[in-house]
Amino acid sequence: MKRWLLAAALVLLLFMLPHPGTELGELHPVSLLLVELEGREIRLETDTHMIGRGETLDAALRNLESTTPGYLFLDTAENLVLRSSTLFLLPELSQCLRPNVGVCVAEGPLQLDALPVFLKIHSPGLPLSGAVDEKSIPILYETEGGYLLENGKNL
Amino acid sequence: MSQFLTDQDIRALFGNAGDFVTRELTCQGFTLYAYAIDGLTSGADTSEYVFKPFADHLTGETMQLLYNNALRGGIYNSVAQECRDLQEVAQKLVNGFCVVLFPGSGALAFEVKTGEKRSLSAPEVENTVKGPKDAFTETVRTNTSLIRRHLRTPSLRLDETKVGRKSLTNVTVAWLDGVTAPDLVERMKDRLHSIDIDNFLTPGAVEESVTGSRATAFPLLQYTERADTFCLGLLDGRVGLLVDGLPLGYLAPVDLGCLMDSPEDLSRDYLTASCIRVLRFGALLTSLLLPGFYIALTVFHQQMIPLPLLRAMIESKRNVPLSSGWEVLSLLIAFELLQESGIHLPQAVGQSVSTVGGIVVGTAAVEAGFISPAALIIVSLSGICGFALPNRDLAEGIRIWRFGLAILGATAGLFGVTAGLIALSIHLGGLKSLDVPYLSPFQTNKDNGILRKRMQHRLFRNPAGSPCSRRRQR
Repeated sequence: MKRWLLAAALVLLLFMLPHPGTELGELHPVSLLLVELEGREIRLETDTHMIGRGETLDAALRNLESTTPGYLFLDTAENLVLRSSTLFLLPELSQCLRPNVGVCVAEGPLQLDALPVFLKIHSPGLPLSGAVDEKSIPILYETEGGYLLENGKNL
Repeated sequence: MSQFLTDQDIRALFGNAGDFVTRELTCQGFTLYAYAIDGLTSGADTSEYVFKPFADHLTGETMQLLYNNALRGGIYNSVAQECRDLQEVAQKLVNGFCVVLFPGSGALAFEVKTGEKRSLSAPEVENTVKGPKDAFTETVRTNTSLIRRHLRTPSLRLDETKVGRKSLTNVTVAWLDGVTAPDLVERMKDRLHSIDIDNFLTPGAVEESVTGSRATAFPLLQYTERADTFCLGLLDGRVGLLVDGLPLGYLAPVDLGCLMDSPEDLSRDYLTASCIRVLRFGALLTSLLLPGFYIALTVFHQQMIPLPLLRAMIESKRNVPLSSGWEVLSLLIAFELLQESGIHLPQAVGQSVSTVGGIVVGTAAVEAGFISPAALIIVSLSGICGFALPNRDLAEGIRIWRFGLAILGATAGLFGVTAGLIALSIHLGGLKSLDVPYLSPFQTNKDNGILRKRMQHRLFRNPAGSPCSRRRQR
């Protein structure tokens, strides 16, 4: 009897764990995140066309979370696209994204629609964990009808 | 004692039972009384091998002489045994003997068992493509003869006893002298003698009584309906148990490795058998862990799911009203209900119910958006892997723990599943069958591991049962 009570108490304790689960149907997974400056605000855009703005990265992320239907799920992000003006956010971004997210810097106008597929095939090869101290970050250009990823250009 | 047996006492044994038949015989001017149980004895054999010799051949000037002559061959019957007391008379009668009372001298029992019994048939559960097709029947004597046909060594020992205060079930302990450790045999006999129970008729009564009714869902006795598997168990130094009325043989001690053995393993080449054994162990883990892992991943650790798969799963899950935990748990319950209904219905109807339940209702439920296809696939896969396990008792133990791990996965994710697995390992590590650890194949892993070794390399018996002779072959 004591054993059963102990088992029941343990199961109850498991229900009280601080980390609650999230239902799969409520997730809004992101595979690409674009970070750029819009005036004095930081602008975040996902491959699913969700946009968040804020004066700080935290504020922009909170705004992005509030505008996203469901639960914004950044753990599935595979690529991070920055502008040269937002490179200073790398240390902060490395706190909220996985360390092996591929990083590149975009120049010029950019359409995100086909970018995840392009980056899946042509990986930037530089993980976020290594990009913080890296001076040479791959550059992404949009060309006519496609993209071009140029590796190793010094910024 | 025997001279105190009287006609009134014997008649009183069975009261006015409709199948208890009595007859008065006159032999050499003396009145004798014959008793039999209709249905257990053959009327024709009784007439031919008891009454006819009494009428034609038996002579004697006194009742005692008649008794002595009948006992020493005057009656044309292969078995003539003295009954010393009323209890022995009752035992002989219920075992298909005709008892003849010689008032004042004693009673003799003549064997005239009816030939009505189920004939040998192919195994229904443990089928093989190439192996033998003879399965145990409900008659213990038929089963011992089957064993003798497979193991013709005179060192085969069959010790008979009766268990059950009311059922008086014939139980036979089988072992190989010089192979099985004597203390294993003694322990099994001691357990049988210590059983004080009304009936020993059901597999549950046998298993719980013999194993000491441990609080576990895992089997501590291995059952088999195949005579060859039973004999292989005896050859491995284990003790066998045959129970009259059960078309099964039990083997002890048992460990997880024994329960994962299939008769097919020894009818295939070692390479194929090894691959299939690996697959079977994989099926064991899949059946046990898949629902728990699925719930843990979909509720707590979505980042572990590859993105394309995650997207597909999210899409399929978006309109499902149930959470992943409840979805999988309700599907597991539905799966169990389907199995249960299939068992209790006639075979043809049962198959239809399983098909309708599994395919039609499952597909309709997915289309209606009650459940997601991923959850249905996970539960079906887990169920199918459970069917790949060769021992039904083990599969049922796994079914119980599967529920537990699924609940732990739903409450605490992989942490909960890991905690459950640790608890399961502790539980299994603490189990013993006739004092042999349940996880012993993984403790030694010399000859009885996951892979099936080549016959020429199967040199030693499982050391767990401490066999007298460890070597199988030179």
